[in-house]
Amino acid sequence: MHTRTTTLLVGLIAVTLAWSCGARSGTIRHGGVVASTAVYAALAALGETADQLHADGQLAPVEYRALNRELVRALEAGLALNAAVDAWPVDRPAPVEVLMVADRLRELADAIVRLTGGHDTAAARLLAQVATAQQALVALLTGGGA
Amino acid sequence: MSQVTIWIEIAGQAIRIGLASYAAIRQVLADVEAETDAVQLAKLDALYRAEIVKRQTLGAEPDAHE
Repeated sequence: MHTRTTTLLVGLIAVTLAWSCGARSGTIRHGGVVASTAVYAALAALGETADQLHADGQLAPVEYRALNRELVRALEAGLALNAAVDAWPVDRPAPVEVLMVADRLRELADAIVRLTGGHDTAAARLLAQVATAQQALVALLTGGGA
Repeated sequence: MSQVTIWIEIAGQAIRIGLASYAAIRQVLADVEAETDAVQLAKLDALYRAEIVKRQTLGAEPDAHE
């Protein structure tokens, strides 16, 4: 009787301790911080890629300037998302700014295709960064951002 | 009080301690996360703003940077 009860008790303590050690606080709001970081990193990398392509002559000055203006719109949406995440009450649904960023990214992708006509490699390099930012938003909306 | 009752009491205490430590650890993690998130968001705000200014300049400037 004693042995069985002791074993049961030890098992119970082990389970509660393991459970305590496994405690984590990953909130969906934290997922928003991760997403905002990823979106910024992708847009900054896209800007650097555009700089490089322009320097290598694969992006004409007019297209380069137009791409920078499109990038500003996406960055402004990212900034709005960042502010929304900051004001995001814990465990509430994702703010509407996520959709605004998604829209700007789609427009940015359209602009890249339009502005890099004839330069498939340049388009692919820039679109890869847009895809990275989009993935961050998808991860946030599907709860995988945290 | 029988042996069984004593062991049940001990088991109950163990569960209570486990739950309390879980709640305490979770609270500490939540506090740390909230603090690091706030710092990260402030950094990002500055980074976004700086990049916007940079790209606005590159987008508007005629051909001076070439």
